[in-house]
Amino acid sequence: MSGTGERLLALAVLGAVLLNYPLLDLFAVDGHLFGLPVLFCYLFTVWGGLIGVVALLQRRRSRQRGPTAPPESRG
Amino acid sequence: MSREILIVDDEANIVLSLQFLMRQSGYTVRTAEDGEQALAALREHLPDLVLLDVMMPRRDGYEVCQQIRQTPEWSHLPVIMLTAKGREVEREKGLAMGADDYITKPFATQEVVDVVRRHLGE
Amino acid sequence: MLAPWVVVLASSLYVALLFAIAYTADKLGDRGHSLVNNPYVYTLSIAVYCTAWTFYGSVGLATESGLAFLTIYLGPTLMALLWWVVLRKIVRISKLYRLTSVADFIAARYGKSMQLGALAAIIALFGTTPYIALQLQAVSSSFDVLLNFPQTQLDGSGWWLLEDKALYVVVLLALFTILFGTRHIDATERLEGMVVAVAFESIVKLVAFLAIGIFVTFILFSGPFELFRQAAADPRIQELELLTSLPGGYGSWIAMLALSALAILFLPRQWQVSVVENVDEAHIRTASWLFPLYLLVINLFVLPIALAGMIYFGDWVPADTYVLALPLAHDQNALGLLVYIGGFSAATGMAIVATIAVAIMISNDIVVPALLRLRRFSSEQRGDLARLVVTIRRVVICAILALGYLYYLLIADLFALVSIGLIAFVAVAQFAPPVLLGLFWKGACRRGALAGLCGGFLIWLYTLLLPSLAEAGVLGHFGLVLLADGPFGIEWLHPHALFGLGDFDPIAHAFFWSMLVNLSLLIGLSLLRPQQTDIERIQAALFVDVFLRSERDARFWQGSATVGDLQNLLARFLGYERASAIVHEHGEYRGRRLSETEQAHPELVHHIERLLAGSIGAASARVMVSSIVKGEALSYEGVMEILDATSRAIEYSRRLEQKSWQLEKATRELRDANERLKEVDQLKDEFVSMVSHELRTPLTSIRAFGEILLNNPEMDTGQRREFLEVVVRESERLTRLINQVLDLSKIESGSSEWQLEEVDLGRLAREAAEATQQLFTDRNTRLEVVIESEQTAVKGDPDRLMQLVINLLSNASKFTEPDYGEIELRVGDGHGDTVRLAVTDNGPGISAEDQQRIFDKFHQVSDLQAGKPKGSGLGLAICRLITDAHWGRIWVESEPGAGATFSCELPRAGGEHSTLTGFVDFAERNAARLSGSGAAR
Repeated sequence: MSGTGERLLALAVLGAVLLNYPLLDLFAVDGHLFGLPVLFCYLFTVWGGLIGVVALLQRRRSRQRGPTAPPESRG
Repeated sequence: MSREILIVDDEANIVLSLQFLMRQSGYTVRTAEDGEQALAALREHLPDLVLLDVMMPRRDGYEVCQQIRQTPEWSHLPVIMLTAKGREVEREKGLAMGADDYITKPFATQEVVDVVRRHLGE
Repeated sequence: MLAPWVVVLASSLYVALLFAIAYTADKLGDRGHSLVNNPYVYTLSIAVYCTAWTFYGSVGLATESGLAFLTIYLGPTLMALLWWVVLRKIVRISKLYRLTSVADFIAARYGKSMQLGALAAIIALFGTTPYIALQLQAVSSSFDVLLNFPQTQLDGSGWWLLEDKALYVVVLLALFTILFGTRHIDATERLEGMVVAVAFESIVKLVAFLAIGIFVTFILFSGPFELFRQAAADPRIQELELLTSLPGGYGSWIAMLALSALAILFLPRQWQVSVVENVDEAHIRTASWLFPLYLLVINLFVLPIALAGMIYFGDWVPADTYVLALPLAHDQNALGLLVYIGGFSAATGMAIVATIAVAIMISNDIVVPALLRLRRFSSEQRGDLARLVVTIRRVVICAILALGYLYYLLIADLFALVSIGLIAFVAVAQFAPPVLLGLFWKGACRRGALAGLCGGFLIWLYTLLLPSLAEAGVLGHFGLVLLADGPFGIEWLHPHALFGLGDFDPIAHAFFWSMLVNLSLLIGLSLLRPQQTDIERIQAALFVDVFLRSERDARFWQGSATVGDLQNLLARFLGYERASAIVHEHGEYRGRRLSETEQAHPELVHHIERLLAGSIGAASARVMVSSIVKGEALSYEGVMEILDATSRAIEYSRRLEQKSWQLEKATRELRDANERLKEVDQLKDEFVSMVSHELRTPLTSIRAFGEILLNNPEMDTGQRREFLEVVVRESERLTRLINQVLDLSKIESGSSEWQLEEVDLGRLAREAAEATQQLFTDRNTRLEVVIESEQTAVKGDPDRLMQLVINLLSNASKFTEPDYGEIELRVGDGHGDTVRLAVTDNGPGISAEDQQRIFDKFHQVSDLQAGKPKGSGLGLAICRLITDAHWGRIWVESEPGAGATFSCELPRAGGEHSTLTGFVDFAERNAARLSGSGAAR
């Protein structure tokens, strides 16, 4: 349990850094990526990426809660 | 009239040796190579005693013995089993199936002759 | 332009549908078919976060500051990552202690403080009213746009109250909220109908927004590339640098990110759907990624729509209405109507949940405690308080909506949608320090929380609410001065630039100062004056360590109260029947009937307090119970002692559980191992028995004929010779058998000692044919060797492979008729990267049954003709072992009567298996199989 919590915390910190200055300054430029503005691409990609990782983490953890698992410690 | 003995074994050489011994002791001998042949021979006409190997293709000795005991007109027939599996369980099983006696391979020739004689009441 | 009756009818139908859905969901829930017990409805209900502001306002914001509008959704995404840590704990605590709102939560955490609860409820009210006003304004203006487009500037004449659409909306909302929001007095009971309706609204607004987004992007502009290309060329968009920068800069971006991250937790409506209406903690798992995904999807088209609007309309249509104006301008009235309904659902969803959430706070944390104090509801007084509480809640609902409406009438018109929303965000962000610190830090004390909340709230009033009122002109001359030079001309007190800190936008500025004050007061007072009362320390410990303790622990009443008194108290709020049912249930739990006059067990007292908390709030519940229970509540030490004892017991039983699980596992493993041993034992037994049989058979002949010859010295020479030949033949058979048994055991146990080298299978086949030539000559059998391929090198042990080929050849010769036998040895390419070696004979063939088992040890094909030399039954078993060890395979194809083909395929030299590991693995595999001879040693 706490393993998931720690991973999510780390992910949130990573997300906060990726979706923030000064990194954003790098992408706030005039230019296009696949025909879309760079900043637009960057923000939505990072956003989608974060969601994907959380989904992966949460789905894997919830599958692991099988009936054969040893009793989990509380907390 | 001499008594007849049916020898059943899939090993030709063992049949050969038993045939020699029985003839020497004054018996008539018929032979069979497996369980089916043995039952066919029995149906043809009844011998006075059967020497029956256990491990045979197409119906093993146990089945033949059981069949003999279940058939009313054959049930009195003395059956002596021969086996190369020397374990006590096999002997038990053979006797449980209705065999009258039980000889382990390799046997002493005299022992076979003695056992046959005893069961023929001689 | 749409006819008014169409719009009215569509709105009415939609509202009717909403009522029907809520009604059906409630009925289904009552019958036990809960619709809310799944993570998707939960997630959709959380999407009540997306209000009319998202629907209309985001586009407006995007025309001013480009992608900066995304912060409002990126913040919640970051918070959603932490839901499993933070929200789960809040949910666990709230369910355990039946806390019904954020105000209740704060009150309960800090010693069930009435003041804190009331303060928090007031803040929530202040934060929510403008927000509701915002929704009303959105509905009303979208209605107008729909009816009057392309005319967008309304003259305002003829605006009678009764003509105001917003009024009807308010009435409908009040009706809906009262019907589906106050079904139970116990506020912890789920409002299934409301939740399902809100989830449905989340689908509607998503669909509507995607529809308009796709229309604009792909139909108006033939794709996003074209749209962005045109936008990049638009002079106004260039000037604003919408695509290439984030106006507002660092401070604004970070502040918005943090602010919206807090809002997703602490907005009263969010708390309601994500905490109070949560059915199963496991749903948080799904919501923590699905909700951000919802946000991402609904925001994909915001920027395209904004850009499209700017390109099409320029300034003459307000940006907040682009979403509606774009389809209307292209005569897409149906789409326009859909968009309107989408916006309508976004607005009503928010208004409903926010109203009920705040109404529960106001009634449980302000009105009921006030009544308790004023009229001194003592335990002697009888009367149905349940009805009173529900009535209060209904009145409060109407009051809140009326307040929102009033706010909308007075000033809402003057602001962009977004700024009103952000003002609310800053207000509810004040809950963050007391809740989040209170969740993880036992030292956070009541006085600090109270001071922090007060301070933060005052700063908010001063830096955001006051200026917004001033801007609306409500404050007259004072307001003008305030906005221009600061209050009474004192510049360093300017509400948008306190102490001269004027570089931020007003929201970031207010957020910064209010958080600073709130946090400093909370932390400062908690550190400086750490004395807490017993109840504070108890509650702090219960909250922070919620995952460590079980539900039944927290009882801290030691005074005496009779069961009857408690039951009566409960009956006043929950009704007589439920109260006696609850007491009866408790009696069953204790294993006996409780009499009215006996002293209640502390657990019952605690249980009843918790039940009351669900109906009238934690603080009031405590007051009610303490009015009945005579004597002191337990001290902190006393409670902790009980708690620690229970936690020790829990820990102990957890260890026991783990131990017993481990034991069970060990037992299972032992049992399995035992099974395997037994199996191996049986295999060994069978093998020994088989070997014994196979050895005894030739021995029998040898001994019998030996004795016959010994006892018959006068036997004629011919017969003597015949018998002696039998003896010799059987001796040979015995020797062969012994050799093969030894071979077999050698292969099975010692394959790692084999010589590994490259062997040309073709050459080996020829050599083998030569070596066995005598065999075929003797039987007058023809042997043909065909080498089809040049590349026949395999890696392996040459001696073993030779043995393999010879075994196959002698097997073939054995089963063919002398003089007629024809045998073919063929070497060529096999499946995949293998070399195939096949031996075909024209013997009697092998039955299907025998084909399966022919490679087993001692399996002999039945019905051999008499007199033929018998095999040992080991030759093919050895062949299989050898091919196995070379990572190859061996099989037989045959039609009875038409010969047989034994084929084996071996991997080529240089392939993946041609290394020593193949042999090592083989040895291991064999050890696992533990065949007879190996185990016999």
